[in-house]
Amino acid sequence: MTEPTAGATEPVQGAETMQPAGTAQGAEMAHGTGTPRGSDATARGAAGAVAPGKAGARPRARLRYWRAGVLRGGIELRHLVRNPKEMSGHLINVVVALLLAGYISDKVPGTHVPMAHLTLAGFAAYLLFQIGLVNLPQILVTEREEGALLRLRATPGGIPAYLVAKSLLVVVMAFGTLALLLGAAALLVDGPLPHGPGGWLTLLWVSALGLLAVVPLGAAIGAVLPNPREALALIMLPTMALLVTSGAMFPLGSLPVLVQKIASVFPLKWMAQGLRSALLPDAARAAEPAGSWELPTVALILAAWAVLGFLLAVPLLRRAARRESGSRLSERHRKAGWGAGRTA
Amino acid sequence: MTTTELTGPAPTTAAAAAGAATVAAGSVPPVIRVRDLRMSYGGTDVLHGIDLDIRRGEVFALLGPNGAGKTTTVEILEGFRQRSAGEVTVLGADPARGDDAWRARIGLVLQSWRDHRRWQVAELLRHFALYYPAPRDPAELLALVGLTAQAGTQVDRLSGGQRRRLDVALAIVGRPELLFLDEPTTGFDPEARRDFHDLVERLARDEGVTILLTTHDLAEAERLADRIAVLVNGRIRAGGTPAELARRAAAQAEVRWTAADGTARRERTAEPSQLVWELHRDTGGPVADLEVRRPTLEDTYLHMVHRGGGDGPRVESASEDDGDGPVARAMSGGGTSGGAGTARRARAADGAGSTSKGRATLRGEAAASGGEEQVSGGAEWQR
Repeated sequence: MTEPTAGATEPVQGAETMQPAGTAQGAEMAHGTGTPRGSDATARGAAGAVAPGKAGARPRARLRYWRAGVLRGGIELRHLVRNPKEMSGHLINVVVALLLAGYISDKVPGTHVPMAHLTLAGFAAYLLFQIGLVNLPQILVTEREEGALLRLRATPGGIPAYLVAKSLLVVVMAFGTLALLLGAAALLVDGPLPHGPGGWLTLLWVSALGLLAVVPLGAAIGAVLPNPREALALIMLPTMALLVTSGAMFPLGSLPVLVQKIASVFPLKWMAQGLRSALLPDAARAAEPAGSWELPTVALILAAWAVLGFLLAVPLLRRAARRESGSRLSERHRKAGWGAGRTA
Repeated sequence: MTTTELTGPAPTTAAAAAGAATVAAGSVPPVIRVRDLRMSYGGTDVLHGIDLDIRRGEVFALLGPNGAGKTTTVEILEGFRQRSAGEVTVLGADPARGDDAWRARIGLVLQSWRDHRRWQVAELLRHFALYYPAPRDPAELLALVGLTAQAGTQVDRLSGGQRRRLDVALAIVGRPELLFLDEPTTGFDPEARRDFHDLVERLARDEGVTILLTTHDLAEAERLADRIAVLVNGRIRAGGTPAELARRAAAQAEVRWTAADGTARRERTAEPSQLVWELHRDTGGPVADLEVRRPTLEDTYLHMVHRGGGDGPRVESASEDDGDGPVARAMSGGGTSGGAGTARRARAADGAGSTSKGRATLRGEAAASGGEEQVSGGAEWQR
């Protein structure tokens, strides 16, 4: 497991080791079933043939892949922003949150904090959660099914660039949505903003860690889910269930204890709680089940999910990339009922 | 063709073509070398020991019915699939261990690609040029594949033929030495197919790219390929130039004419020229409604596919005399030295361009094989 973890800390290196790791397994397979001597000879010959040109070209190549990845992320963002259908999909969440916040007029029980603020903080957490666990897997599955992953696999440095681009895309999407939601709420419905530098800092680290907790997990899900349509159905149900049970929209106290306990295993509750601590006045603590913001627990649980996500995502993504080939792609297209001439 | 048109790996290609007479065929390592390639999925063998040598600058077609093992073979060569056994070298490396530097020398066109739909054509091409150390100029490339007018078009608005030409452009933007084309013209209308064939010929002729083409389309293989291998049930059942393949099938030509008494006559013969000469001699003048029908590659192919259909294991026996021996030698370069070299040379000498390519190939081949087909060779093959 040492290798995947090494890969996890640094996406580009991780992806570059993707190939050798996969092929090492393959070589074992070849040894097991066939002619070990022949394979060894080929391997040595291949290593000798490939080695010379590498030494000087490597760093420059890596720089090229990073650059390609960053540019790719930029282009994908531009496509996203210019696509009215997808943009409205993202904006509708913000609009719903604003309408809800404008409609709710009561206070958080036992405090003078407007309930709308609690709901908006919960919505902010949910939007981050959704970007990592719904939008990202959908993007990954769609691009895998269309063959983008295969094309990048066939391109030198394509997979590292892809990871760079996707990381960039997700981070910009997440913080863009967050800024839009909080900004619009503050302007239009007197929404909450962090108090002082401490509040802003909390907002930043909770969002970043929350994103880290859900993005690798979302990537792992995207690597295993079969096709875009099924993927949406499979993800949305548990996501909605968590939205209701995590105390994101209303105080957890009003839910059965068992449901609270189950929900507290998942990151959404802690993301919402962390964001409340950043956005709500300290007095609102009284409405928390524990009577405090439990920030150390927030950090711990989100970090644990981040680690778990990376441990799952690296091998699963590596496997997904390794398994891609033209015939598997056409096979899936056939099953999905995509005719050969559909591109026309 | 002149050598000044050549770019990229040109020197090697030019040397291979021009120097074929002086340089032994074996001295230039093949671009693809396969020995006893075997593949099994869960105990079922799908490849039973494939041998292949594909030389630099050659257009090689892998032909076969569905399920014959074409895709498996090609995906092993592309480095996308692990083989069970055998030796495979592609551009000097084992594809199972190919790194980025190796990848950069290979281009891929798959029929199943429908990715990057939202990108604009030129934008996509410019983006993929970023990954390679010495990419082609995207604008020139668009002109080469005939998509200049579509530069600003969104990819999912292209027609099937345009999309595939874009795939070719993407595949060659990094100046690959080897190009894999996987059933590239499936679903094309005749015009799109012809445009695509012209493009492939231009790549092979002007750029010296080695091309491995898989196809069901016999006419396509016949038109584009210097050599063809027919894969049936995981074995190469036949291989060689289109002319060699037809000869190997031992199908006879059919001569039809109308006799002096007005009756339609037909005769099958291995020596149509002899028969026609005798007819003319006997008639003492023109022969009415004379027609000589050569077996087409399609006849040959169906013959082989049919024969290979239900009797897979039988061909392994040593007594089987269906040309496997010569075929294996022809495919791995041991027997017919310089088959492609000869064809390439004939093509290089022929300045008339793409339309005469097939004839040049066949003529070159006929010369190489002792000239037995020289009288009747060329024209009848140009369907």
